[in-house]
This record gives sequence, structure tokens and C-alpha cells, in this order.
Amino acid sequence: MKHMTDCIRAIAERKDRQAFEDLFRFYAPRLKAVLIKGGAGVQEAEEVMQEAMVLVWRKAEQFDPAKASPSTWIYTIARNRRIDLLRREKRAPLDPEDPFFQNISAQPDGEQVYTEGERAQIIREYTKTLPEEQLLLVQKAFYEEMTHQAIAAELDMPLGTVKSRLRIAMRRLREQLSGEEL
Amino acid sequence: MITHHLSDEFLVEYANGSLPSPESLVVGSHLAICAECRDRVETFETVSAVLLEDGDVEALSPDALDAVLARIDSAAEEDGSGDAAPLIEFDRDTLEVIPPPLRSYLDRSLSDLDWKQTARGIEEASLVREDDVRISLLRIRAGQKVPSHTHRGDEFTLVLSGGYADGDDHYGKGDVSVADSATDHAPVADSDGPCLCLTVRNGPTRLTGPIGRFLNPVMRG
Repeated sequence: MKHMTDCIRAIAERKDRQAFEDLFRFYAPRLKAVLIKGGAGVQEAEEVMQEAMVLVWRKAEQFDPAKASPSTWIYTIARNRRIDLLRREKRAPLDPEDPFFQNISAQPDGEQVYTEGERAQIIREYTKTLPEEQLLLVQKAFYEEMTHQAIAAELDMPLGTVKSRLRIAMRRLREQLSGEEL
Repeated sequence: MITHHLSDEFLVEYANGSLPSPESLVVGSHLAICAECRDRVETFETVSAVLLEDGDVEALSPDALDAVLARIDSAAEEDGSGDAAPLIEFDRDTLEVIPPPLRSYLDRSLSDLDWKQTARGIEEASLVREDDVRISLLRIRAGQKVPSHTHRGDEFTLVLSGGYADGDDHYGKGDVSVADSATDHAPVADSDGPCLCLTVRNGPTRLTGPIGRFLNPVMRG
């Protein structure tokens, strides 16, 4: 994903349209697919995707590769746009300069020893090791963006089982991530 | 030091955008205070991003790229990021205590809110009052005991300043408690100062103690 990081930088630094087209060709069809999986109609998915890609152009200067991988950054822009359109809720990144953070830290304790790209890589490797039954739940929760309740209903599984399997999968993932620090 | 975090269940649904707005308000406000849970959510967002990279593609409308480029060129178009929300000038105290995600629920600074006494030593400023959801700020006097109560639905409580004890547990700034209908609790505010909490309730509160039953109509408001 190094190329994608370079593309976002090129947009931020010199409004590079070719870089934007590269990003668009990779992300736009994937965002539209994930929006449809998440329950949007085809037209609505197209609209949210287009608005998200416009925001990618406009917000390129705010992209910080130390804080998010290009995919995570673009995913959250699209998710936030969808939430903005559906609800009164607004999600915006936290501003470390806000007076709220005067007495509390805006940053996690300790230094993260892996980069965002490494975090994504560890996660990709981890998902490949998941047993099929857990992978299915992870797909439903993280790709199809379903609630635990909806997953339980669709798979005809007790809600408690969905919760505990996902909890275990996420705990193992965190172990993988912290294991990399040791 | 935050000791009562939100469980993965809420953080996962927050990260994937499926958690309803009232619960998201609690999660977002906790995240503003809790770097540890924020890191968890970032991990969950990265899981989604990885699956996105490896995921399906959907055919775009034929002119999608041109349409997006045209929108980029039209400088007049509003950016739609929510920056256009009317800005309220909050005082310093409000800005330091109210997490950014909660501010859009306030129409004025903390001290100017419409505080109503709901029980001895307890004041409530109602932010949202709908059939199934009530979102409030609670201000509990130092050392005040909150009448014992249970809930028909879930109650989320996030400490914004001060703290309280509930049985053997202590809750300070950033700590969250999630109480369901089986929980009967009776918090006591710390003696060294008032406690300010955000509460989100999915069902009407029922008072259960001997005095509480008496106060029920008041608390139900």
C-alpha cells in the first residue's frame, strides 16, 4: 500500500489528478461493494462512494501515515460519510489542540512500535490463520458491518456465541499485535 | 487511570458503524478520554480496511470518475463533512469537561443548562428525551447517595468529572458502567467534589429502594 500513501501525498502536495485516479480505480469499486454489503441500495452506495472520494481529495492534507494506513483512512471517511447521511450523529477526528485534551492525553501511552502499515500486515496475516467459523463472523462484523444481533439472526446462532467467538478472535488479534512489540 | 472500559462488542459495532447513535455517543465520548480503547477501535477499523482491500469490487456507474472530478472542480459545493454545524461559543469549563462528540447535544454552556433537581442532591439536564431513549447529564452533589434503582432497558453511565463508588467498584473520569435490567445499583458520589456523568438510558428507570419507590414518579420525570 506504499503506492497508495504516495498517491494521497501527491494529492495533498500538488493536487495530482493522476494519483487521484489511481486511488479511485482501486478504492471506488471496493467502497461501493462494502456499502452495498452494509445494506445500502446501489444508487445510495454510488452516491456515498462518490462523496467519500471527493472528501479524500479535499482532506488529503490531513492524512497522516503515522496514524492510519491509506485503506483505514479512506474506509473511515466513507463510514463517517454514511453515518452523517443516515443519522444526526457526526463523527470527526479528535483535535489534539482541543481544550478537552488539556489534562488528558490525546495519544496512547507508550510508543507504538509498529507502523500502521505493519499493523495492517499483521492483521492480514492473522485473518488467514482464522478457523473458518471465526473468519465468517469476522467477515460479517467487519466487512458486512452487521451488528452482533443481526449476525446471530442470520446464522441462526445464539447471540452469546457470536459475542464470545468474536471476543476471542479479537483477543487473539491483540495478542498478535502486542506479540510483535516484544 | 481508567479501569472500566467498554467491551469489544460495543467497540466493534462502533467501528463498523452499526451501533445506534445513543450508544455511539457513549462510545465516542469514552474514546475521547480513553487512548486504550481508541487504539482498539483503530485496530478494528484496520480489520475492516484489510477486508476492504481484499474484498469484492462493484461496477461503478460509467461516468463515476468524471462525476467525482467535476465535483472536485466545483469549488462552490459544500464539503459535507459536518463543519457547517452552527458553532456555539462554549465556556472554558464546558470545553474541558464535555468530550467533543457530546458537544453537538448541548445548546449552551454547562452552567447555563436547564438543570432540574430530580432527587435530593441530584440535578439532571435532559439532552434528549424520546420514547425509547433518554440522554442526560447528571450532577451529583459530593457524597450524595443515588437512590437504589434498576432499569427496564440498558443504562450507560460515563463519568465526565469527579467520581462515584458503586459497591466495591470506583468510577472516575472516563470510566463507563453498563447496567442492564438485572442490575440493581446504588452509586455514591465521592466526598471530595461533585460528580458529573453522561447517562444514556434505553428504558425508563425504576427506583427499587424503600425511599426510591416513593420517588419513582419524580425520577421517571
